[in-house]
Amino acid sequence: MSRVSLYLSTLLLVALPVAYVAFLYLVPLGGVALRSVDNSTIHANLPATASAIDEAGAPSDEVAAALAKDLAAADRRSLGELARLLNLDAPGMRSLLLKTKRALDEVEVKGLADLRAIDPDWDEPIYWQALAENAQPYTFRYYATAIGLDRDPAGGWQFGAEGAIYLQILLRTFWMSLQVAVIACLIAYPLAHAIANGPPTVRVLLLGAVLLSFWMSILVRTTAWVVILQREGLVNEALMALGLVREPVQLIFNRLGTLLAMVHVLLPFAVLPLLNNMKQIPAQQRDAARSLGAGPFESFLRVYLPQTMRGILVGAGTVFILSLGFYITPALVGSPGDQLLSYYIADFMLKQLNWGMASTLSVILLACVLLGLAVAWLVNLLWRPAARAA
Amino acid sequence: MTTHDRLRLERLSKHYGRHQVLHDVSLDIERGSFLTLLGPSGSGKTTLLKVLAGFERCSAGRLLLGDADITSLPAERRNFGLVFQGYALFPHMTVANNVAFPLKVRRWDRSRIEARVREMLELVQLGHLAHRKPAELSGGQQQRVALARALAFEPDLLLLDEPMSALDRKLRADLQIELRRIHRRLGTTFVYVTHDQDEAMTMSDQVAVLDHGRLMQVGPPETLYERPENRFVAEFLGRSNFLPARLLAAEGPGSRIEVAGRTCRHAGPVPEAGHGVSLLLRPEDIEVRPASPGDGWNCLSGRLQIRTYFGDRALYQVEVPGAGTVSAYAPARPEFRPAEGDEVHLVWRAEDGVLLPAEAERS
Ligand SMILES: Nc1ncnc2c1ncn2[C@@H]1O[C@H](COP(=O)(O)OP(=O)(O)OP(=O)(O)O)[C@@H](O)[C@H]1O
Ligand SMILES: [Mg+2]
Repeated sequence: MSRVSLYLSTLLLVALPVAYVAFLYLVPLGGVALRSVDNSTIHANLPATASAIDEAGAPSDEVAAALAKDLAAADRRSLGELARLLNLDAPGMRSLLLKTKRALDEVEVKGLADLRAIDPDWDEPIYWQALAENAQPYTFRYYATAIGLDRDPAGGWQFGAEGAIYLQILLRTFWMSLQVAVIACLIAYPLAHAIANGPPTVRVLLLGAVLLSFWMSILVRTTAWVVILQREGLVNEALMALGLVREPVQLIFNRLGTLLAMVHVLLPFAVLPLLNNMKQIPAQQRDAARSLGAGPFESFLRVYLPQTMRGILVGAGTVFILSLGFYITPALVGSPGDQLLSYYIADFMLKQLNWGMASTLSVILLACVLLGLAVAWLVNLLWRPAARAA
Repeated sequence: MTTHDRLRLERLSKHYGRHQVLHDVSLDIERGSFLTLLGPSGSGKTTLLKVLAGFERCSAGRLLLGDADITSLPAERRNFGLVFQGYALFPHMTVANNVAFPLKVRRWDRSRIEARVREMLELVQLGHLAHRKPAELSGGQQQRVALARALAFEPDLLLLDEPMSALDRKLRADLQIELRRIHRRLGTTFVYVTHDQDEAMTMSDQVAVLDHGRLMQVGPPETLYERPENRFVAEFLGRSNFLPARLLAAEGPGSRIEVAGRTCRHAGPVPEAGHGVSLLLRPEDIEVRPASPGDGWNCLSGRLQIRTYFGDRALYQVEVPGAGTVSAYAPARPEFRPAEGDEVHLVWRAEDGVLLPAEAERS
């Protein structure tokens, strides 16, 4: 009996965090994941066609009648959405469907021949294939688009003319995140070192500066960079006043400005783990290295640096993963060519109203982040913290 | 490797801001000797060690290794080994790599390093743990690794700052013996810091006693114990009685002094400060007797207050009029067993007493 009650109380204890995780993460993430493969527009609007058509999409009188029935029943709005989506798979299908819909007011369609009479294009197998594929409630169309595939005239997949732009953007996102992580660590290391080992005044001042920027909104800090870096901004005015340049230098709305602002925004995430790591290294270690004959440089390389490796990895990893999902900063200080994947997700969601594409890109980004975390976890596992000597 | 016969400390002083931590410390450390710096907490032992190691610059004075002035030589170029109180092993390296560190820094070649590391780990009896990380060792084992690392590069001097203060009693005793064995075997000069007088007495050739940054006396343990030059050293090493005394006639081996109203003979040296002196008597030099042995003996009479039995001996605390409480050791099974409150007589030999200048109370 006590076992049962123990079991129940454990369950109760576990239930709360599980529910918390479920509602805050799994449910919304699941929703996004579903959206990325969702094809219900077609499925819901052409129910008769969906059940009548076979997998290969062989046209028949029965299917033609079902399609005519569905089209007649469809209202303007859902037909428009339907036509747009099908057009993605079979170019020309949009006008074909709209034309057919109009013709249905006068003609009664009993079989295939009637459709062909409305438009001879119904002879083309590609349109029937498009219907057949979309009869399924799920589609991988968005994933195909994301990796740069589109439909060839025969209805198969081919690499699109514009190439795999989203893969390129993903690659750019990775590359810029890597740059940000490396630069942030290079700046954070001496900063954290000064805070960990410096005299108290230096320590308080630097730590204060880092934490202050940590607590300030990203938007505010990014805007500050715009003010500082713009053509009539502080930096340009200073450069001109010093006579170093004649004309204002383009510092913003380019890659340099974007990286600079991102590094600044993310710097605390590199400083804090490093600081935490460095604080655990006793000052005696440096004296010990010196007494054993190592000069300052060598004792840093052989004794100090290896002991801060974990801090570097945690700091760089955190900055990298946060960079992958960055949106506001590049949007405000970058040129179109500096935008990260998140920008396109927002664009699909807010401007193009293409939720499927937005969800797909989100899922891809999330998968990359999870992959990054898995790698970090592995590294952490292999890089066992060397517990300090007593 | 430099050949030198001694490390000379010449009037070393050290200030931290306005606070003077070392006062004019002068000391010769002979090559191959085992010198212990002994003193209470805060007396400046660690500071002196840091000056020797080169981590702190002295404010005044010189440091000479043989004829070379090394006062301003940086720590990494002094070739002095150092064992820290917390061992300061490198946690990311194995035991073997810790010991190899000073050799790699000196660019020894691989095979020589390997051989040396093996030799050093054998020396401290840790050959089987070469591939462990420091965190996987016990305190005593870490201590040995630190020792092996500090000795691996054949330092001219090995400095040890309270290396055993974190270990338990039994382990301490073992390591003390081992440290002496290693010292004898290698012949390296050891400078050992401790505030434990037993440790200092049992291990060293020479003991230097520090108090408030001043060197109070240097010498072999026996000399320090038997012929302390001042009250601080006498009190710091072992149990002691100080009896107020007056010098009647200073005649070399046959001086006469007055102690608690009695005239006594004194055979040792006599301090120059003519006025007050006090007589130092170690409890084991005093014999407790039922009756005065008669003229010609140094004898004080008093009343036994407390008798404390230790098994191997007993401590008698005797109230002597005019001299306060005097402690004396008696053998465990004496023929004479006074009861508390009995009158007893305290007898000592003329050559066992030490006369010290009576100091004004330390400020
Ligand atoms: N960095 C420093 N700044 C100012 N004063 C210091 C500093 N280091 C030590 N002192 C002072 O110097 C004096 C001697 O210190 P030191 O550490 O040498 O003593 P110690 O003999 O080693 O004592 P312990 O047995 O407690 O280790 C102490 O009064 C201490 O407060
Ligand atoms: Mg100390």
